[in-house]
Amino acid sequence: MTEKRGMDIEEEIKAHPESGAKRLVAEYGDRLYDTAVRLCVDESLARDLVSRTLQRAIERIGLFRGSSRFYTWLYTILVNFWRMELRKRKSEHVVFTDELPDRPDDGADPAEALAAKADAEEIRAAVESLPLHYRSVTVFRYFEDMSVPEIADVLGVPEGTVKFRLHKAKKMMRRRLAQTIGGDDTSKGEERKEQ
Amino acid sequence: MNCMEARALVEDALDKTIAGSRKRALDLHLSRCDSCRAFFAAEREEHRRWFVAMNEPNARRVLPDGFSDEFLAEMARRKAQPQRFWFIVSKFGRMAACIAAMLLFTLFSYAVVKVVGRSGDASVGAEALAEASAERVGEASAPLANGADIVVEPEAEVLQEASSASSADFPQQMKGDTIMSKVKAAAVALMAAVVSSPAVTVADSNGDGYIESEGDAYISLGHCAGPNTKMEVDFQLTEVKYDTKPFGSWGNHTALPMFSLYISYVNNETDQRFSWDCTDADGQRQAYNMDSADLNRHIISFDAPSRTYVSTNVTEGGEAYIHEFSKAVSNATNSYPLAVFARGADRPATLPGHFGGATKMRVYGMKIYESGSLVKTYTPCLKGGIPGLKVTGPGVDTFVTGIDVSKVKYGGDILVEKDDPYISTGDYNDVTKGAEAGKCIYLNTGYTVKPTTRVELDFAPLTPSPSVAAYNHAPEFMCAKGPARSSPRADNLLEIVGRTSTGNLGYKVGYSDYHDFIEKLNIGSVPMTTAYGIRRTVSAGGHSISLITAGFTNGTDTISANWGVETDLTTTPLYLCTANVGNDFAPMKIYGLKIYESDALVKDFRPIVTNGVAGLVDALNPSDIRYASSYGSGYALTFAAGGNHACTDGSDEAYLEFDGSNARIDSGVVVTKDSVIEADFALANAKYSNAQQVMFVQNGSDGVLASLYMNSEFKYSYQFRDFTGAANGINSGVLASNERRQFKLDGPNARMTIKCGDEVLCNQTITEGERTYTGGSTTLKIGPDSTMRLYGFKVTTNGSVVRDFVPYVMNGVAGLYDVCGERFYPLPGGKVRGRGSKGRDEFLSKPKHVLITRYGAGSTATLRCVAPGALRYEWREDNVLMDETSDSLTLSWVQNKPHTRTYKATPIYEVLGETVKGESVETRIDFAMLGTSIIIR
Repeated sequence: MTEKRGMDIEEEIKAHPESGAKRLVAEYGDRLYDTAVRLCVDESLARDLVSRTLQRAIERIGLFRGSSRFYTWLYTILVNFWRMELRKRKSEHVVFTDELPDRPDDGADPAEALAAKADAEEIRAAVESLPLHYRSVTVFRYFEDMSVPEIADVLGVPEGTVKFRLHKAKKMMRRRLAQTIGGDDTSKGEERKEQ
Repeated sequence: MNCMEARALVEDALDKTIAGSRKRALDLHLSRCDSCRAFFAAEREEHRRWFVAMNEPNARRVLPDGFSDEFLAEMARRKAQPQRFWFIVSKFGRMAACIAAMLLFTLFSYAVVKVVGRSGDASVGAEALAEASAERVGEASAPLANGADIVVEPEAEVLQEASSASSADFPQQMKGDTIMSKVKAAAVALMAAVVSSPAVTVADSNGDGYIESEGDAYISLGHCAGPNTKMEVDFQLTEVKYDTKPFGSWGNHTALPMFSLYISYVNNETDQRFSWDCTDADGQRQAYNMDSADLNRHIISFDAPSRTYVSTNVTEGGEAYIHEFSKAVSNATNSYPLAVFARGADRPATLPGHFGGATKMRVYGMKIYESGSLVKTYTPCLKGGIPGLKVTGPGVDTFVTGIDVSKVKYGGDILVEKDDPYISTGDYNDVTKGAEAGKCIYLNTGYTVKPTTRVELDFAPLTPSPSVAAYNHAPEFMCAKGPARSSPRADNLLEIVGRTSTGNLGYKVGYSDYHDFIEKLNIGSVPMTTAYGIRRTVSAGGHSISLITAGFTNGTDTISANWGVETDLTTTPLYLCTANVGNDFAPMKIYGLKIYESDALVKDFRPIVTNGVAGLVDALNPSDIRYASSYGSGYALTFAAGGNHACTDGSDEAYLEFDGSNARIDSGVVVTKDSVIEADFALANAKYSNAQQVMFVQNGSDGVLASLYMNSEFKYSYQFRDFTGAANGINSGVLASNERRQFKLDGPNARMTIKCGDEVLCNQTITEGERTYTGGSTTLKIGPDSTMRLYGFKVTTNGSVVRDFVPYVMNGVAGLYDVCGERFYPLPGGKVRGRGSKGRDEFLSKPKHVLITRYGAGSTATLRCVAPGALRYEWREDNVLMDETSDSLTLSWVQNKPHTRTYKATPIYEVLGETVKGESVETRIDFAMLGTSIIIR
């Protein structure tokens, strides 16, 4: 048993596929599932994505060379499956929000007011309401704590595209939050008190 | 920089990826622009709030109940379905599909040619060929395009069509009314092999694991072929050489080959062919020239029951060469085992089965079937550092390697396994194990051999003394002395040595029969020069002795009838690792020793490591543990241990290893007559040479005040100075050894004890005068003049514990950690092995819950763990690896990363040379409201 305890998970999957698979599910299943649900807002699909991700990881474990963290490798697989889903659903309508008015500089501190009112549940609901492309960058940014270059790398798009989508996503989020909790739809343009 | 340009950088600023001139320009702009400063602050705050919201622990989704079971069941189901193997080994699957496509293409081409021949219309035939080819290849290759599952089987109607074709239309080897049924069977069998086993699977990368012979690397497969045998070999020649033999075996003492693939040529030496050589049912040799012998990778299948030979050239796309033999093979089962890496006419007759090896080739995998059932699968494997083949099958799990392991190479993504548990003397060149004159390690089994005794020694010889060429230095792997002999050598009763009496290296058994008669028997002609490192079994007893290697009996001989005439045959127990001369030993690994009386197993010795000390334990009587001993006096040698960790007793307590270089740890404490000193230690290869060997010492102004040492009798003694100033010593009477001991000098109660666990070896009263020494002018130093393992050291004075040392590593330096004073005492050059300490928590100090209530640069805190014996620690933040070198982790917070995180520390130990993870502990870091102070508790 000490041998297994000392093994990296990829080594265990290679040497002991059955116990390695169990360990893979135990250590990474929930986290992948959490991400998947946030990405696709569909628990059934998320479960399927996780299952396919874990399965593919076991099949291709020999390709994992340890140059990246194991979770990052899993995560990339998950995202690739999800992108395949996106391609299948490319007919889904994407809502652009360029028509949203900019927030007026009225001297108030709407961000603080908004933050005071907005609870976490509303923020998560706002994320889930975003169209696919905007939801993905938002999940990567605020849930996976990824930088712009990292998101660009995972999605295979230029950094400028990521920034654009983040900008749009934030606008949509603010508008949604303003509607649901009565705040303004943006938080820019006003001086705040220094912390 | 204007406002627009500045705000475009907000994401970069949040990421902290902005630097250089851009950062300076942004900082300058923000210092001057209140609006943008507010914008950035709001962005950060929004980022923080959204981040916290998204990562709230109670908002996290977990997989539905039952997911794990369903997933694992699905994986098992997919694995059990050969047609789904496409997904499981997709790396191999594409090439498998290519082979299938090519094979089917060939089959259907034959079918169409047959149609052409029958109709006599070439154009119709051409169209039919084109249609058939497109259809079949299209079907077979479709999965390649879309990645769907693949099921490849020749279609019945086409095969039936083909089977009715005129034999005149087919190549010579395809003749016969049943040819297509044979082809079908061969094709189906080949595809079944391709899709059902990685060992014989065609792979599309050069990363497949293989073992390779550069010549003379004969490997016995431990399986004798017969009329119902089918074998498949996935291999690649690295040299095409006439009359070399990649695999096969010879026949039943008739010098006729059977199941033998060799290299021949047709007409001229440029047309090299694979040739199949076998004995037919009439006992006549039959040799058939087959496909081209080249440097491509091939899978060759020879099926005796169906008389078919199928060769698939993997490198060139899987084209199959199929041949049906006109005669059945011999109905006798072979006496010699199948082998790989063999060779032909210039084979040395001394090799087992007269089937030696000079073939240069790689083996990627093999399979052997009997009556249609897979019985053995051979997978290239690096076991315990030795390349060979792992053998698995119903009731089979073993490992085989070359007769000369130095000639077996390996490469690719080969399966790596640990060796089975063993204890080892080390090579002769290992100076710690006996190379020094006068040092000799051996193991006393405590068992007296009787005429009815049979012993089975599972061992591997290691590099012997350079003087092994001298006959009287032959290493004795096992030995029991006879009676009334003055020499320890000449009258050994039952011995296994590494050199024959003829001067040729080899194995022999020698025994005396009480009539002063010594008989030496060769038990196989295995040259010792090629035997090192290879695991073998010698079975000796009654009137026979045999040498077995990887299931193959190298040789058997009969012991004289004189053996057993007398009953008092032995005067010593059975020893292992002995030698013909007192200053020598037999370098070897011991995997096990079984002793039988009248065919009943009475001793089943297996390797074990108890608290760092290697020995053999009788599985039938676990209290019977045998450690190493040494010839003569003055040495306490010990075995090394290796292989699977299953050979440990499970405690693996941490110890600090002193290397014997006289480095000592200054405890900083002065012991007095009111002190209690407790040392938990084990010597390792200790020796008594010119000076008394000291385990700890405190000197006074006029000599030693307190010291535990090994005296000239090789016994533990305690030296001190009494109140008169006279030097005194107490001889415990306990022989020094490499086993763990607990020493206690109890000053207040005037008593000295030495224990081995619960067993009291010494319990002596110290007189008032003897114990009344005064304080020393120096402090107590811990450390021996030779190697020692220290598990713990404790000093109590006037009822108070002043030092309580445990083995510890800080920043990569080994030493002792005083739990009492919470201070580390380094031992440069020392090593810590094992984990935990008996009676102590695994962690002496754990990271504690930390509350951080302020963000910003400079907000840091440090978590620290202390676990006895840990070499290092693995730190994870929310299960993401953060550090794996230090015993502490410094955390810092920035304003845009506020949330709760969990930190986990896992100690990493070394047990038997392997790194092992211990139990983890966790702590949580909280971020509270802004504006309050940092509180770390």
